[in-house]
Amino acid sequence: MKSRKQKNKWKKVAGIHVRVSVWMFVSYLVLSVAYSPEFLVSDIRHKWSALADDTITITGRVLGPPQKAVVTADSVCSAGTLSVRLDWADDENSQSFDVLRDGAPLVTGLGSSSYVDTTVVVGETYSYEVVSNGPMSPGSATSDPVAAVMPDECVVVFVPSVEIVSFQGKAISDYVGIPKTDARKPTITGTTNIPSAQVDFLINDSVVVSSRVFANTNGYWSFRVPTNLSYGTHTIFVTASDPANPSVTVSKSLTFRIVKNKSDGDDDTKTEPALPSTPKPSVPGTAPTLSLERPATTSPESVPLDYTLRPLSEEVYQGRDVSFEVRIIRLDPAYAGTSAVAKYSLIDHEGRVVATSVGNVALRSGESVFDRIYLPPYVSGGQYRLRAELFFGKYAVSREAPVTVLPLPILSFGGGLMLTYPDLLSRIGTISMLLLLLLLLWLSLFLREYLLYSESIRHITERNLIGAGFFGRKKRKGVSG
Amino acid sequence: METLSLIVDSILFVSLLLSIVFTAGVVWRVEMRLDVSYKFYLAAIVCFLLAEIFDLWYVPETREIAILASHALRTLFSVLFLAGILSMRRIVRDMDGERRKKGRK
Repeated sequence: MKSRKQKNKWKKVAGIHVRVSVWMFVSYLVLSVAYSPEFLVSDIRHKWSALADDTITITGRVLGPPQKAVVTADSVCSAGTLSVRLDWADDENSQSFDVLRDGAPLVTGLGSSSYVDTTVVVGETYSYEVVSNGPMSPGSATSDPVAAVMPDECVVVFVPSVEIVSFQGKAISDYVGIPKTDARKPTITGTTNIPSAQVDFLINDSVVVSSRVFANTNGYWSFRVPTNLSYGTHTIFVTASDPANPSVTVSKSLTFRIVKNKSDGDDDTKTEPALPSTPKPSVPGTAPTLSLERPATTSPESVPLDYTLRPLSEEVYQGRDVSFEVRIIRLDPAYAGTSAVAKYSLIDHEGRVVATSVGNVALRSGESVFDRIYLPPYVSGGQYRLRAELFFGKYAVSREAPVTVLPLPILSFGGGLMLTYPDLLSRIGTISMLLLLLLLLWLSLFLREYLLYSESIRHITERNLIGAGFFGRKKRKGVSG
Repeated sequence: METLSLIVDSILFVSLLLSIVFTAGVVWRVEMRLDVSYKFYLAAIVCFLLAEIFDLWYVPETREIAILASHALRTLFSVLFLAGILSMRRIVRDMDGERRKKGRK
């Protein structure tokens, strides 16, 4: 009899457990789908995806993990040039090195174990770290920070400079001959001694590609060609200028080659949405004369269009629109009134496009166009780049601006602890169990109090309080009658 | 500082939940006007707890509504608490003979 009772008890407990688990799972599915179906997919992927993402490189010798560099930094004022010489030991397990200054990238993709930083100022103190990158896990190792103190005086003759340091993640100096790649949207990085410089890029292809990015305060810049380049040899012209003083400008060029991959295609073509064809000029009789020959452009000024891209808010919550303004600063009169195809994209720090929209823009000098991209709620928080590309005639002119995506909060517990909606949905099981336990504990207190009350023999009234002496029959001493 | 703030908030919630339990216990045990006064206290504590819960809501678009609701509930707490105090005060004044009934003088 006892064992049957025990079995029934356990059956009840198991039944409750199953019901609660099913209820929580159904709630998770319903709330996630209501929030965003893509969130459900990405959250499940995040929970159940495989951990083995590392790429294993098989070489003739067994490589070890990249070694943590021991860096020395010496400040030097010589011949009117102030610089910091960084040096560290070679490491056969590392393929490239990145240098960070004060936490931000200074240069990436270095092939050698030394670097001279010329973007320094007298009287300042800088903190340097070197990141060694290699194929074996964990993939990178960061050195301890080392400080370099600049002298208080050094007569510096400022000569603007721009250097192209790496192409497709490999140092330019490591290439034999012309750098080659099968990626039709190659990435180049470099540095300039103009802090926060405006860096313009120009490539003469079947479509002239003109883009602009801004270097960080260390002068570091990184650029990925926004559109697929044709196979063959190209030259990219890089022009760095001071936004506050446009006369301070310097240019450099790099010739590279795009070669065909055996698989005949790359991921870039698969992810790019089909663009509508460039429409003909809308005003008959005033159509610009478009030359069929490739224009010989080598500087940003020779591109017939210049515009700025400005997000209306640099911080945007998940699931909200990223609104921005495209303002045309300069336009060749020959193209006034034409319509350009506009493509807007939001790109994460790994270069993946997370949101995109396509439209048309009427080109008029001084005109401002306001548009928006919807930011899906499943996009995680962090730093993104908003990119605008205008295609007209033989030109593709792009601009970028930084945008920060903030997780959408739902509950703030104070002290900086905040729960976002995706966090809540992702942890709904744990949170539900915790709340259920707290509720059971609270109800048990109520039950205890009720059980204690049930032991009482009378209800208390005011007369009981008098009888118990809570109210004195005589006045207190010292109180006048 | 953040941890301290979190601890203080946790103590606040635990205290309010315990207050509800024990005030309800008193309500069950007393009668007449004592019962009424403690019911006012119980309602006041519940309003205060709801105000604290509304304070947790942080969705940007509805934050202003949450703040307004929190203020309204805190106001209701103060009114109900005052009603409970006045009720208890009346009991005490009646019991200690301040408010003599007409004809008993």
